[in-house]
Amino acid sequence: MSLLEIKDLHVEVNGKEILSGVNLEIGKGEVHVLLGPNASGKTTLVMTLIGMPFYRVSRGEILFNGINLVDLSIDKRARKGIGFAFQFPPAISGVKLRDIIRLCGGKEPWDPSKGQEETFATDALKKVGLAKNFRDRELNVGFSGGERKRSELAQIFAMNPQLLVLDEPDSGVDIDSLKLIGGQVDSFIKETGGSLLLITHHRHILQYIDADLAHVMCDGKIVVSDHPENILSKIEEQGYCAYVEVCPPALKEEHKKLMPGSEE
Amino acid sequence: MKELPKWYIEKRKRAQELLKSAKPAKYGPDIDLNIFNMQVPAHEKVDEITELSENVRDASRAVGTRDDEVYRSGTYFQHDNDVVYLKYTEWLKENLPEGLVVLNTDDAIRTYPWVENYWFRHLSMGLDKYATYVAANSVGGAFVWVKEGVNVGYPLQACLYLGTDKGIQSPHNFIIAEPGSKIHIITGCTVNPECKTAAHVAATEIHVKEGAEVTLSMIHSWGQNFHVRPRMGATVEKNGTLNMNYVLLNPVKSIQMYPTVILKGEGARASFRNLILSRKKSNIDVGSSIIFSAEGTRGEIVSRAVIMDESTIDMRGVLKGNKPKTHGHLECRALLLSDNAIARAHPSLEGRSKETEMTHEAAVGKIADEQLYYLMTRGLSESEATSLIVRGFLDADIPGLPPELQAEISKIVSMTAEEVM
Repeated sequence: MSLLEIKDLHVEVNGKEILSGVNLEIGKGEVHVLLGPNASGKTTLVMTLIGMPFYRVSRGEILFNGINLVDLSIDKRARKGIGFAFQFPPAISGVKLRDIIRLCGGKEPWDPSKGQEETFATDALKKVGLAKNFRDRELNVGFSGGERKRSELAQIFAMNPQLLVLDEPDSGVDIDSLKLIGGQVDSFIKETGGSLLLITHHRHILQYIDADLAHVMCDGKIVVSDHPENILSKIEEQGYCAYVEVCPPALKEEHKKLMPGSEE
Repeated sequence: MKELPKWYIEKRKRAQELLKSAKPAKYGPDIDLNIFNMQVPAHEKVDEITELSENVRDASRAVGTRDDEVYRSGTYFQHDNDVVYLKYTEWLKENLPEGLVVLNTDDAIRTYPWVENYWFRHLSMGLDKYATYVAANSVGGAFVWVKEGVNVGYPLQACLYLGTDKGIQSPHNFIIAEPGSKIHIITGCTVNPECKTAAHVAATEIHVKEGAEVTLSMIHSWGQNFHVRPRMGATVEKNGTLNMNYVLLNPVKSIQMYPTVILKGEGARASFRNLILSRKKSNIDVGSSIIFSAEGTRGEIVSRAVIMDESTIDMRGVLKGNKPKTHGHLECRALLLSDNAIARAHPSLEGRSKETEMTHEAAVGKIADEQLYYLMTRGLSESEATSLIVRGFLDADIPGLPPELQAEISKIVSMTAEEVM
């Protein structure tokens, strides 16, 4: 049995169909990359997967370890083993990063009056290269882009999920952060035997993560699945136009973004 | 005992005359003070704080009073209208034997003739009937005088406990910080849980002299049928600093206060931090006002409130920039958790110099969905996430607060959040 099995998934947002029959299967320990131009439905797919309201499933199933997630709330899905790292996590003032990391790991928030040294969150932060003082920082308040990405990883690693879902963990980060993020994700997968669904626009992060399969989404459907290298070289050559019958100008713009050495 | 000075007796008489025609307060429901009894039982003095009854100590602990007196320079404890305990800690006696004077205000008036120059000088006794009431009828109150250049290393704690049903407590408090001195005062106001209704009407006058720094942290815990009307006025001289922190977490029938700070000397600063949890049928009207009357003065008012149940809250903030190079900022955020509650923010900015800069941001609304969903992706249920956000919202760090008091406030916030969510 696959860890995740998405069957004929149709999703509406405000009455408009965004996903029109997505099929995707991720096995235990597998790493899948989701590519596709803007507005192709990638974000809708992961938002539906984690259970965000407003994403209405009109047809199809999302099976996780054989259990249909469609009617479960966000938190229940998380507790079943889905760890999602946001592309733009919100700031929440007054909530300490250390307490969230501890809650992610099933521990109580830190009680400083006990006078002991906090270790759980401290170790989690160290792993993603965040200094000790981030323990007492308020969640994402004043964090730089790279710091947010790292803090997301520290949190979801602490959850020890069976499936990591990362929404553009490589956007807006410098090369050092990229290396660290990629490396940590790769070792987490290898150490825990977990699976990964990674949304990205760039091949850079794949230097550090061994991916098994890449999928291209266009117009609310997965149009092709193949070895990441095959797909990436084709996109780099021809853009996403390679995978659609009529290529609108917007896709040509997307192509430029994917060219090696290009930045966002 | 020394007699009360003539000036005081005369001014009291005048205040009693004024009281007959005194006007209601501008804000908040009008309270008939005559229904409360000025004749409250007398309470005997104790030698050690631990001799106070368990109930009284429990209540006082919940508003930040430490009965072990660790990390404190002294304790002032008032039960109804009697000062039952007043002591400097050994630390203070050893390190600053003459530096700090804390007295029952009535004793201070008997002891120091110069108190006349401070009595209703930072606050007008004709302000409204509550101020006039205190001028006419005050009993007790904490009189705090910090001598020139003295830095009182540990906070002074003052607890005012209201324990008599239908009683009225009417202290007149003073804080006088001589030039270059520094003090932090933690005041906890609390009540006997068995007492059904009562009123607290107080006056507090603060004078921060040149280069002095006063931090006043007030933690209030009243009952559901209590009316509270503190009147407060402060003057800050050249390069002086006044920080006022206010924490209210328990239901109250009505509270209305509007402390006003005048930044009178160049470079003077003031900051207000208000943290309020408005519950049950509380009617809360809390304002803060800073008047920038000298060049180069700065001030900030930050208010945060969580509004629940059927409560109503008005948060007022007034900044008046009268002189050049003045900077003021007002921030007011209210988190509304009930459809039956009302939250109003009333920010007001006034500029009377082209070189003044007064700004504000105010927001009234519910918890942002994105914050809630975000925490739920971490496995927290909706109610756990709500509670965490509310706790965080109220638990924002208050600059200048000693870490141990911050920890105590966090603990109170945490306990309250757990209890109400």
